[in-house]
Amino acid sequence: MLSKIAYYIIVLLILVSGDAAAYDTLKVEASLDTLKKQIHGSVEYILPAAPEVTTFEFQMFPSVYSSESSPYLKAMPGLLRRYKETNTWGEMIIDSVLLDRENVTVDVSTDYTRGILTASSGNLNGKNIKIFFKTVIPGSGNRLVCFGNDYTLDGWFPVPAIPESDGRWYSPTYGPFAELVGDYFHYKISLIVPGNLKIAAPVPPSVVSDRDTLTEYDFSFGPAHDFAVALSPDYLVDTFLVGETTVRVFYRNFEQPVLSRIRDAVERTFAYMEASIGEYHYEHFTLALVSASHAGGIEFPGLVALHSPRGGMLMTRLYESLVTHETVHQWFYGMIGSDQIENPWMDESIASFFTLKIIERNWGERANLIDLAGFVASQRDMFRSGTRVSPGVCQLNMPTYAFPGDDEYFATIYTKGALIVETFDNLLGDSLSDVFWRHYFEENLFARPGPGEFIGLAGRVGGEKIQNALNALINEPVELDLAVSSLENRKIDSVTYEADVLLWKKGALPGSVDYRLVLHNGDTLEFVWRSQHDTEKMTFSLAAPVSKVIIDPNNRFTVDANLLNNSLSADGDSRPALRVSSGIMFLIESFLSFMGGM
Amino acid sequence: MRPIFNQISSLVEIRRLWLYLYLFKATLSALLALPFFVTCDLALSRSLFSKSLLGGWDVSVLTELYSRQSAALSPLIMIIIAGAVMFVIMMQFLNGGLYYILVSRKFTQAGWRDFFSECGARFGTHVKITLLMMVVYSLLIPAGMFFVNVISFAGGHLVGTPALIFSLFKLAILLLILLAASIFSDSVRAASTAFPDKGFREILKIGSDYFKPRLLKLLRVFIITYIPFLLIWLLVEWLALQSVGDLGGTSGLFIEFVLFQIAALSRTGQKLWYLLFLGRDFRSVNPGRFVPEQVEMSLES
Repeated sequence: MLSKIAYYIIVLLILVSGDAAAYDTLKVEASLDTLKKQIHGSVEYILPAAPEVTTFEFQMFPSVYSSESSPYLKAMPGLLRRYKETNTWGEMIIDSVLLDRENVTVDVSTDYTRGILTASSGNLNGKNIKIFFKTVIPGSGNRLVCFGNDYTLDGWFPVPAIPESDGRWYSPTYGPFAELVGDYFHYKISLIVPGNLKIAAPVPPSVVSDRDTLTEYDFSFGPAHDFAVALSPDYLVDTFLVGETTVRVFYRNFEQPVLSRIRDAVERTFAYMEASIGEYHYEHFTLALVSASHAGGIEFPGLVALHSPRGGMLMTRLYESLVTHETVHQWFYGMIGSDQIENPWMDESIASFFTLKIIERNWGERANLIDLAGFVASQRDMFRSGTRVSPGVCQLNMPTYAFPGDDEYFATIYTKGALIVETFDNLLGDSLSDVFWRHYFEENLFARPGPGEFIGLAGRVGGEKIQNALNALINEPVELDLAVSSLENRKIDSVTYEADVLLWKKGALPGSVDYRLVLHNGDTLEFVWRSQHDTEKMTFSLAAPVSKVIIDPNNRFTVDANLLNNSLSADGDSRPALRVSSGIMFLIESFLSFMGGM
Repeated sequence: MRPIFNQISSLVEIRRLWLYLYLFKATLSALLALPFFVTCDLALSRSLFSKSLLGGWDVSVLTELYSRQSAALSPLIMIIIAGAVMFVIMMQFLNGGLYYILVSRKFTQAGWRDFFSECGARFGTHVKITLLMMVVYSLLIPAGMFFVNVISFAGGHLVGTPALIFSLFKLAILLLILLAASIFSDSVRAASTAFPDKGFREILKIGSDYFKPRLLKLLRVFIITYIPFLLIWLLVEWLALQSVGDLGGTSGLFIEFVLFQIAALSRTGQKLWYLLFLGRDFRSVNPGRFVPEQVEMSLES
């Protein structure tokens, strides 16, 4: 009897649990008109039972392409100029809104990307909302693009804003560098497209009907916070398995040479991320090569749009780096959501950090990006030089719209951010790092944690010191520079030497830092500097003079602005400078030959 | 091919001129590289991080160097540009004597006095030619870029190695356009030497008349003379990397420096070799003041 009861309880638990029950369903029915470059359709959504809501808000992303005054286009002067010249603006138009089948369009107001329905009486909980929309695809774009006969469609239908616990709605403002922010849904999509277009989506569709020149596709995907597709009449598909995940690469015939490189990068990324962070929770992962994409690639849940690689990328591993970065986003963006407008570092910096780790793990530390005719460069070199692009120093935890410009945003979020996350990871140490990232994944799977959750978990795993260090690293502008600024030896007697070592730091040092003395007799002494001041002089009485001093010898503070001054040798050596100057002299000679003809 | 390779013996004859021209370029380059050395030495000499440069071109050191000294980079580049302008001006002075020797082919007969008197006499004309060429290049470069961008559409769908080859093809087209302009300038300079009494317009016309029908031939000659230099340069780069990688330390750096200078010397030689051919060819068509001395024939009955 007991075993029967237990069986029924288990069956009941299985039935009521699972993704489908935990996330709201968003039903979209739409058709793509390739002649007018428009999408017409409807979105259906049942408002949640709690919290109590008296309004309903939804997002209309395509309106970021609608006018010259769009805050989103401020960071894209090239795109703005093209729209002005060709008059091919994009927008989303709301045709009508039904609330429990009653037309309430008159109660709907729109403001930029924000649509608001105010209930005339009572609350809206549990009611059925149906929005009829028309999306005008802009002539060119980054997320919503028509390029010849190819399309990349993201944010193409209205999506509900995010309900907050007090009954209000969070509708993000799409300013510069913003990415789509949404809640997790289970998507039921029905899309009608011309029959010649092949469709790359996060999951394979079921073909509902194939009538005349149109084909209707049905998709069921989730939980996810976005649903994007790429379409092209020329798509071919390469399919392979990575563990239990079916990976599909949509490519054009001319892109065949890069398939093996994409496959290699995806396999290596999955191997690392599944072993270190957690399992990929969808059955499929899709990559689509597109003709126009933003910054080489864009991540969507279950789907990545990649630009076709050109010459320069082929002589380097930049393409592997790009594929790795976008694939890592399936974990930090896709499965663990975040507010990409308010806290862009929570997906981009973390994805860049894991890209660095995967690239170094698979292709070594020195020549993992370029290894050409004796000239080698690494992903780390790229990140470290990238941090110098920014003229100002910004804190990591800043919303996209608060960055003064492109340089500051990309240098802080993509390159310095990766080094800041790496510094935090190094401070945790190998064993705690493993615990931290696994817990972070498990606790926030298909949720949208904020910096508070991230810092809180760091405290629980690593203790108060780590928490304080992380707080300083992400919430203050990081200008850390550790240096050994002087070394002097004095002979006291025949067996004793005295050495003065001056340690120096710029910026707040989260915690203590190790330093090492190497003596002339080969002995090595390790110390810890718990800095109270920016400069501190240490005097040592030793059996041999000090030949070298190294601060942070294990390079735990990878965000350190200058690694050249982390060590000081008692004896100078001009040979490195001579080598650089010899190379520069040859470059100048070549330049003079070019200019003067000799 | 034979007339081109015949010029190698003439190149040997003017070896002192070749050496001095190289030394002039090397000395100026060394002076311009000196501020770089001082700046780099301050940052690198006592750092352990910089030691990897003794075994290879470690980009991580160069990245750190750039990070620390990025503020110094602009003034250093300005110094190089100023040095290059000085070099170009001084070359206009030397071009007078140089083209005189190469067109007249008085390799041993002409002394330094003749050389420098020609330098002084033709300086103004060579400056005018340079100014004209600056205008030509400033028009040709954007026009060439436009042309290359237009043909880019043809390769818009290329990826992988074909895309790389197509990029090199576009670069080659751009370089050929610039090379054609450079050959035109050489023709005009040769004309100014052969016809010192003519006005600038007439010199341009003579140079242009010589250049137009022979453009393809001269392009071919330039490329043939350039190939040995290219091979030397590639060999030097490879040997330099090997010497630093295998030997390391001071000896590796010294060998690398010597190899770089061999490449720089060969580049000067390449241009002289090509100009020797052009000078001889120009003189055969437009002897100007270098008409062979007339031999008086005594006709006896």
